[in-house]
Amino acid sequence: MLLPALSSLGHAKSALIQSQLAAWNAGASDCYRQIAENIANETALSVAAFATLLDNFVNELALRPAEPEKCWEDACHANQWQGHSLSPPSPERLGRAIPINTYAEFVSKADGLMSPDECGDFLRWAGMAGTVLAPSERRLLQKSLIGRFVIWATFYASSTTDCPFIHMPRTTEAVRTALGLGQCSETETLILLSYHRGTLALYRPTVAEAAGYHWYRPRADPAATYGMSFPLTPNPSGLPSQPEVVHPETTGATLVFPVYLVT
Amino acid sequence: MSDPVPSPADPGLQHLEGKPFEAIVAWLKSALRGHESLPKVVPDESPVDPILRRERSLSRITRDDLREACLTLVRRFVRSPAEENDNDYVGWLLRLAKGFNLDQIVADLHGLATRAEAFYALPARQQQAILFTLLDLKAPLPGAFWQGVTTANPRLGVIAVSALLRDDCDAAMEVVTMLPGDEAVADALYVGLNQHARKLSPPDLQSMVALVKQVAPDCAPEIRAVLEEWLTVHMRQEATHVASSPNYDALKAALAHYSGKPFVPKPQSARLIDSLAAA
Repeated sequence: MLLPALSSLGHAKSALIQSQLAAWNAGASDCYRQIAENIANETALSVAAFATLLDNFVNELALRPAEPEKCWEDACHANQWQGHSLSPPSPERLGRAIPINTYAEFVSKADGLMSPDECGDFLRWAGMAGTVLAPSERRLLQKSLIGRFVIWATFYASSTTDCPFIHMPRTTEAVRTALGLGQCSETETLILLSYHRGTLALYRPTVAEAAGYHWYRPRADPAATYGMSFPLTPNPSGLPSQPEVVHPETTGATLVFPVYLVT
Repeated sequence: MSDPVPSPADPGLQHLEGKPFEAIVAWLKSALRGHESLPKVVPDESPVDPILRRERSLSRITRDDLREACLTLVRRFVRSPAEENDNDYVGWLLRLAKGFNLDQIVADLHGLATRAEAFYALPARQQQAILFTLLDLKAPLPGAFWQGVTTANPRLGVIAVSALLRDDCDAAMEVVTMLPGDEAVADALYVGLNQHARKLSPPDLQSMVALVKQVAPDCAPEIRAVLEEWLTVHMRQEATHVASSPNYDALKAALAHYSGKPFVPKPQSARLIDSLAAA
C-alpha cells in the first residue's frame, strides 16, 4: 500500500518520506528501523487513508524537522481507526494483558479514593486463583478504565465466545511470548482481563495505532479482518500468534470475573 | 524540505549517561508529560514504570542525578502549584518520587497540603495525587492532619481512613463516621478495610471487628451497608477459624494411626499457633 499512497502525494513529499524511512532503516534505533519496515509492509490501510497519514507526517516534518519520531507519532495519533472495522457481534469476548501497576493506576483514578499502591495490593489479591470478589470490589473494577487511548485486545479465534486466555499457559512468559510484548520482562506481573465486547467498535490495527510502538507487525493479507501478534523468540512451546484488534478506551463494565494474575 | 534526521538510539535511558544535570531535569519533565519515547510494555503504560525499570541499568551517578531531578521537579511544583495544570504530569511525577522512595518530599507535600488555600484550589486529581503519595510513602503524619483533610473534604476521608488504620484504628473509625453517603466512597472503604484486615492477626482482627460493629450505627446509610457486609464476611471467617475442620481432624487421626503417635503440626502462622494453644 505504501507505494500507491506515496504516488498520490506527488514527487516532493514522496521523496521526503522515502528519505526519512531510509534514514530510519540505516539508523541506530532498532525501534524506528522496525517502524520503517512496518510502514513499508502495512496492508491494512486504504490508499487514501495511508496517503492522508503520510501527508500529515510530511506536514509535521515541515514544522519540526529535527524531531521526525515525534512527527510520525503525532501524525499517527491523528489517523487512528482507519483499519478494517469488525462488525458486531463477533468476536463476543475480548481480552487484554496489562502490567499490574498500569492497571492499578487506572483503578486508582476511577474515583480517586484509593492510592495506586492500595489498588496494586488489591489486584494482587483479586487476581489470585479462587478469589471471589464482593460487590463493592467488583464495582471498583467495573468503573475503572481497562486501558487508555487505543486498547489492543485479543480474542480466541476458534470460539469467539471463550475467554481468550483459556487456551494459553497462565505465565508471564507464555503471555508475553504469544502476544509479542517485547518490552515485557519475564518477571513482570501481568493482569489478564477478559470482557464482553458489548457495543465496542473494533478495528484491525494499523501502523497508526502502533505509532511509536514497534512490536506491532502488519499482516500480509490486505483482506484480513483483524491483525495477528508476532510471537517473541525463543518460543520453545511453539505458542501460536494471537488475533489482535484495537478499540477506543472503555471501562470494565463488561469485565468477566475472575481476573487473573500471572507472574 | 530538509534532510532527514537520523534516529536516536533505542528508547532506553542510556542516552542520559554523561548529560548535565539541567538536561536530565529537562528530559525528565518532558518524559513525565508523555513527550519522550520510552520502552513500554503496553502502549498505554505511564512513563513511570519504564523509567523505574530501566534506571537500574544506569551508572550510580546518573541514577542519583535522576532522583535529584525528580526531587527538583517536585519542589518546583510545591513552590508554585497553581502554575501546573497538567494533572497527569503531577500524578506521574509524584508516582515516580514514590517509586524512587524519595521520602524527603513528605515534608514538602505535607506543607502544601496544610496550606488550605493553596491545596484546595488545586484540581481534585492533584489533591488526590498528593495525599496518595503521603499515604504510599507511609508518611508518619499526625492524626489531626488526616482529620483536617476529612473535615475539609469528607470524600477524601476514605484516604485518611487508610492512613489512620496503620497506627490508630480508633481514630480511623472516628473518620469512618464522618464519611459521606456515597457509593464510590463506600466501595473504596470496603476494599480498604478488607485489605487492612488481611494483614491482621486474629486478635487484632477481632478488635477491628468490634470497633466496626460499634461505629456502624453512627454512619451514613451507604457506609453502614458496606460495614455490615464487611462484618458479615469477617464474622463468618472468624467462626470458620475457631471451628474444628472435619478434614483436618480426619487427617490427624489417619496420621496418628499410621505413625503410632499423635500428629503435632509445626505451625507457621499466627492463626495456627493460636488454635494449637487453645487446644
